[in-house]
Amino acid sequence: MNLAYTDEQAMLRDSADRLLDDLGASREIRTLRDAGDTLGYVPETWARMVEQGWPGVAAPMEQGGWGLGQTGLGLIMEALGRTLTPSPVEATLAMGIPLLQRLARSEEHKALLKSAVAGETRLSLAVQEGAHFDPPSIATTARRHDGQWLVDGRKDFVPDAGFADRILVIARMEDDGPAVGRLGAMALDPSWPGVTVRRVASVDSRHFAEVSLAGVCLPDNALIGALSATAMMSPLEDIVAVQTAAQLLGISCHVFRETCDFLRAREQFGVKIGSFQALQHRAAMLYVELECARGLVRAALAALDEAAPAASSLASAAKAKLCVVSRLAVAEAIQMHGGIGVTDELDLGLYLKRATVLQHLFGDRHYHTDRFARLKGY
Amino acid sequence: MSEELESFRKEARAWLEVNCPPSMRQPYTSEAEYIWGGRKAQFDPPEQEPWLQNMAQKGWTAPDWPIAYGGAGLGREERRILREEMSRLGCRPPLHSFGISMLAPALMKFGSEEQRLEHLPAMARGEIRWCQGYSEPGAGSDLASLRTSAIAEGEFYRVNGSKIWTSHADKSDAIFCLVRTSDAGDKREGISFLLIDMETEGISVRPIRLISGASPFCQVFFDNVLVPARNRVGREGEGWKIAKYLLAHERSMISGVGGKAGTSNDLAERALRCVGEVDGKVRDPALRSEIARYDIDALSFRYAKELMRSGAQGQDMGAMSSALKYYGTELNKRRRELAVDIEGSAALMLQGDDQARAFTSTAAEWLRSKANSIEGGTSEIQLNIIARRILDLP
Repeated sequence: MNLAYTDEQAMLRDSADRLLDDLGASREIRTLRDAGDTLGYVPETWARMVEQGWPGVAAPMEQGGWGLGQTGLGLIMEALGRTLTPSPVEATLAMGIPLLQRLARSEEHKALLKSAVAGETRLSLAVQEGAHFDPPSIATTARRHDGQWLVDGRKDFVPDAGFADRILVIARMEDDGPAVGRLGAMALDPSWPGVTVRRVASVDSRHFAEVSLAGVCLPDNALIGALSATAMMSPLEDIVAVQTAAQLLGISCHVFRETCDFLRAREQFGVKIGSFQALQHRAAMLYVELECARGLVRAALAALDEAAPAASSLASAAKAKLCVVSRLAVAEAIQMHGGIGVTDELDLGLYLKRATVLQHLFGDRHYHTDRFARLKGY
Repeated sequence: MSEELESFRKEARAWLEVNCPPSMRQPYTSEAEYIWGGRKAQFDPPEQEPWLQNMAQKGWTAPDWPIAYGGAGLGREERRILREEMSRLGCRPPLHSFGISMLAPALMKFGSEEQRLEHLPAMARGEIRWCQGYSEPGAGSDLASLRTSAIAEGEFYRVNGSKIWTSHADKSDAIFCLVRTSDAGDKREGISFLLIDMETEGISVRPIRLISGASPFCQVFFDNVLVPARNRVGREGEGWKIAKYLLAHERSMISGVGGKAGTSNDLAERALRCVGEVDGKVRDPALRSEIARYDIDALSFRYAKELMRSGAQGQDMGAMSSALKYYGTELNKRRRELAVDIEGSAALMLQGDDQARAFTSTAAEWLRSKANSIEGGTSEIQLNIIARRILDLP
């Protein structure tokens, strides 16, 4: 497995970084927070991302994309982690589009996919119910009745549901057909009767939503498709896990760089604090962990693109590892900055909060460590 | 693939098929089966000897060396082809040699042509077995403070002192040593690099027993040992520079430890057997979780190494090898501790009868692993190197 960046990938990474820096995108989350913004992102920034073609980065060229796969998307995710820039990218590109690519059969759903890849439709994926990600316990149902679907249930902590044009809901299917008891994905318009979206702000100043579905009546063709018979939702779950890990990698590397800069600059007791061996050793240990984390994320992205048999276990390994490493990186960053590290003046607190929200999104480290072990047969 | 390379491959394959004995095509089961050569060599099984000799005659014990030095003068592609053909047949390395891996680079870069011609061919033929004399009881991490002295007396140096942690000194024919030729100036400036014949009068060797039992480590004592001055490599006072150059090589060898980790389900399979299973999972959820965390870390380490190998980061390779050595050895210690946890008290009982009680292999590996984070540069030293050279901390 060659983990080196291709020229194309290096160019994508550099252009993504440049775009975000030119936009001053790392200041956005603080600005939105302080202004009491309720949308959740800066429309001009999203427009520039669409203009650059980001929504199509992973999609095959036949679908109007760049064909750079999950590896390409991972580079954008890492950049978004570095800058904390909120946007529809995560939910639309790493959740909605992969689901549609896997399951879309009808003309309508293929058109929805095309529209999302073109950046014209913002998507949201509603899976979790309750405080912990646990697909086997999904209780939202889609019941077949008179040639239609009746959807009942409630989804919690749904990213971007407050502004999404379409919400993709994962429900347990109840019909007499072969799909009974399996999880299916339904595309719904949040403005339809029976759908209530209640926005909730999170500690990282993003916006999630509770999506309540009370007897939502959907036409027959609202079903995009059924997910695998087991409760594990590979490869969709894999993609979300790895792309979240890529963001966490961006966060971790950024705060680590800030920390090393601080160690080199800050003086106490007449010397630079970076000369204290205890801090040097902690920084060095963290450096090695970050190299390991990067290797694992790169390998997991490559495995997804190669549809390797190990892709699912690598995906959970990457998410679990990045949960641990990002927790360490932000904790060490704050601690080593001393008093100023816990002020709101620095951005470290924003990185801590975002990292923690991401750690819990779509399965925390316990969930993914368990999933890894299960996939490895123990 | 060029015609020349193709025909080289064909010739290599044909020669190996004829000249590699079947017993030399089995994978190693232990380090005891390595072929070290040397005057005191014991070839067991006997096929080791012709295998070594034939490969040496081809220059394939050191294929990248010039032919004049006992090598085969092969280029990078040819060496890769040779490795592939040997791997294809499962050929064991014909020679393990500290000389080739740890001394030859110094002779190539700092030695005289006379020294190269005197020592390299014998090394490549496996006739002379070398050991390394660096650390002393009073100079481990602080190697530069070494005290073994070499006082110039005409055409000789008179050497007095002691070296420790010298692997296989009791089986070696020669030792390359860091010695102090001067006390003037900075302690590093007074160090020189000396080649010493182990048969010289005044040298004695004592094996060192570890907590894990017998080991290849020894302590070597020099009592007024006279060494010809022409055995000095490089100028007086250049020894430290040569040593630093060589230590980077040693470090990248040891980072292979922990390398097997992450490529097998070994711990998990043992746990399912020894601890039991419920619904296909290891019966003890806490232990299961620790095994999974270890497996994930081992996987990440494997890919960190690949990342480094693919030159993805474009970094200081010496400092990167410190990062790998540090993580790999700490990982290995965790692995061995987990193996003991999995096997429980059964791992901690001695086996065998009254005459020859032995540790279980799990216990022996666990005990031996404690040294991994100390030998070849302690973890603490590696972290210092990372901090200074990669992170640029003051």
